[in-house]
Amino acid sequence: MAEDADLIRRWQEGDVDAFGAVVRRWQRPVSRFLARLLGPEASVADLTQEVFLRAHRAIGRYCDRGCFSTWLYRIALNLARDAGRQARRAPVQLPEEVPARVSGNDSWERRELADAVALALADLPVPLREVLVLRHYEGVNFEQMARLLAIPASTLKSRFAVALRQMRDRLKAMGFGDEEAAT
Amino acid sequence: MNCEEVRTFLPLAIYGDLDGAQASEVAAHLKACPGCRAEESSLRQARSALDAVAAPQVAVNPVAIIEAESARQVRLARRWRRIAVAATTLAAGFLLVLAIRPQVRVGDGALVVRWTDAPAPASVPQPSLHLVPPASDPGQAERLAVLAKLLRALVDDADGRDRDRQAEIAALRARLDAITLSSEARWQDIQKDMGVLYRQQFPRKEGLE
Repeated sequence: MAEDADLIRRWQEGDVDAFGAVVRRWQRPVSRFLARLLGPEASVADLTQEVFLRAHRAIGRYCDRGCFSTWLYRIALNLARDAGRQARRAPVQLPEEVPARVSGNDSWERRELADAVALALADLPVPLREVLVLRHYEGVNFEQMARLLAIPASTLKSRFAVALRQMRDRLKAMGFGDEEAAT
Repeated sequence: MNCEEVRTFLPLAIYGDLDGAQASEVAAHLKACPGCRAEESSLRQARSALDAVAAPQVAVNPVAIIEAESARQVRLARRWRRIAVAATTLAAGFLLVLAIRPQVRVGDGALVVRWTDAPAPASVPQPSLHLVPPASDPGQAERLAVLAKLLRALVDDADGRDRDRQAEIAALRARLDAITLSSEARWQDIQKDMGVLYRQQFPRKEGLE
């Protein structure tokens, strides 16, 4: 956090190297967050670039209170919501390729499971998907999430419970029952 | 806690988001309830299945971001400059309009733009029916009588001078007539004298003629 604060202060003063360091530090979490929110079809590279472009434009207005990650995730979340609205207006296409990180070393079943999870995740209602992604993939606790989404933590906990159950049910419906999911 | 309450808390229990007392109650219930244990197991498997999804590798280019932002700042500056120029022009035009107050009139096949006040229509003198009676002046008759006397005196003086001139002219004519008569008589005397002298010098020869 202290390192972040120093980088951000230098970034606000116009230090390009500090901006580059922030990008290197946060580009993977942000891109991962976007990919899981928007699914495998989204152009995550472009969206991640856009997140840091918006952050760069807005860094002058950022007040460091030790919650840079919340601020950055809020930018990414707004961008993901915009992209999601545009994608819903576009014709739906099923993914033809497995996600990039699933390499040839993974088993065929593992790749199938990855596709099924991606589809089930993309099929979740947006409010449930946002809570599940933030809690499971980004490790954001409910208090931080409440600040990020401006929603009470108790509501978010309820949504999270519903989201996890729906994921389980959807995976079962796609043939990934207890045995497959446990692998 | 009963099964329904426990199953409500199970997703949070799996992620360690229950407080100590709730977590203990859920754990105690799970030990004694095979159905809730099966539910917990299926939720844990769903949680582990979520990890099957991998994220793509992405490399953000900060230099491109800075260049794009610089270009945008330049565009914004140009746009604001244009807006400022347009606003200044509009304000100047508005002030000019306020200053000269142009009047636009369309009609009779002509467009008339005037930026001064229209001349007032020429006033047509109206015949006055109000007759003012002459003011009564008591000294006016006296002044008129004096004026009449003066005029008569002038006329008399002119008549007298005329009579004197006529008399002078008559006297001059009489003298001229007398001179004329005297001259004619003298001329006749001279002619007689000249005849006498001629005959004396040149006597008439009766036989020659």
